[in-house]
Amino acid sequence: MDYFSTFGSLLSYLLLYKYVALFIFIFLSGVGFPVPGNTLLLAVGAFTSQSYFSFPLSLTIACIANILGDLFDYLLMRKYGKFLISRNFHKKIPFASKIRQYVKILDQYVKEREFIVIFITRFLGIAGTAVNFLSGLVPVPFKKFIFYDALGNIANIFLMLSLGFVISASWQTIANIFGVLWTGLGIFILIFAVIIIIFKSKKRTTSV
Amino acid sequence: MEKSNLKWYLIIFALLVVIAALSLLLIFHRPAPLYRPIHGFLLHHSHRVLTVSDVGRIQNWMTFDYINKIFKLPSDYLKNTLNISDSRYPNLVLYQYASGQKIKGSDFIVQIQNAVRNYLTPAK
Repeated sequence: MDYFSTFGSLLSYLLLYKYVALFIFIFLSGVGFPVPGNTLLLAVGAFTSQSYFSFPLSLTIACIANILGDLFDYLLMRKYGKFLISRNFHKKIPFASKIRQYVKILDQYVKEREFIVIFITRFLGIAGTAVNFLSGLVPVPFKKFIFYDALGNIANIFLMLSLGFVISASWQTIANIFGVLWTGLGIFILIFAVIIIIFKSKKRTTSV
Repeated sequence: MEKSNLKWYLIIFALLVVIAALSLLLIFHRPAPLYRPIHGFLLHHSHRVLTVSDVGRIQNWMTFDYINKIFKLPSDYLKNTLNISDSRYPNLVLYQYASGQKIKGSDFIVQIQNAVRNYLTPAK
């Protein structure tokens, strides 16, 4: 692995600052910064198998950081989302000009499937961030969001750490494969969701 | 902030504190009966000692401390063998040290690998 790759530097910081770095990276990943959270968790899982990190402590810190990161998005959108839409800032962006219409469709979709949407997307990186924003915008009730988010995050983080723990020294090979899969799947779901929304909104306007 | 939301913030905060406290208890206290089998499994798996065949896994993003721990080297072995005088040792990234010393990263990795190999290879 080339040191100059961002991931190499992240791993160095992880080894130097351990749990502080783990908290910061997972929090940023939860907020939506392009930090490979799941791959880092695989690495930490491997480090726990070498007794360099503690499994329960890593699990706790990663869960808290990820939940706080998701909450940041949710609360941000809950507080300012409707205000931003009412100010029509989005109308300056061609695609986002119909955002109010899209939110109505998503509102209905998310409200009918809150658990599935929030829980499943905890495993899908970038799609999870989009759902955090959306949940704040709809808004999904706070207690429901936090409950489903916590469940999903605990399950995902436990899975990633355990996988890293089991594959141990081979984690880098597996991480490369998973990295591509996760990113691909997350982007695919986002594109799919956008297509469905556009399709539904067009259908609705023609039927009116 | 709404009153009902504040209540939930407090509940979540309390839950997180409980999770953190339980984890710390599991780490620093004697494992509870329920946790013991898991703890045993973790210990069993976590003590796979890396051997000479694993020295190829050393990479420049690793720290000296990490290499010492995973190969079970004495903490000053690499410092003495490679004449490292940097005060940040062992919390020092290999690449960082190599670039500071104007050594080519890949050459330095080979030096480290040789030093670890020499330590792990039993003397004839």
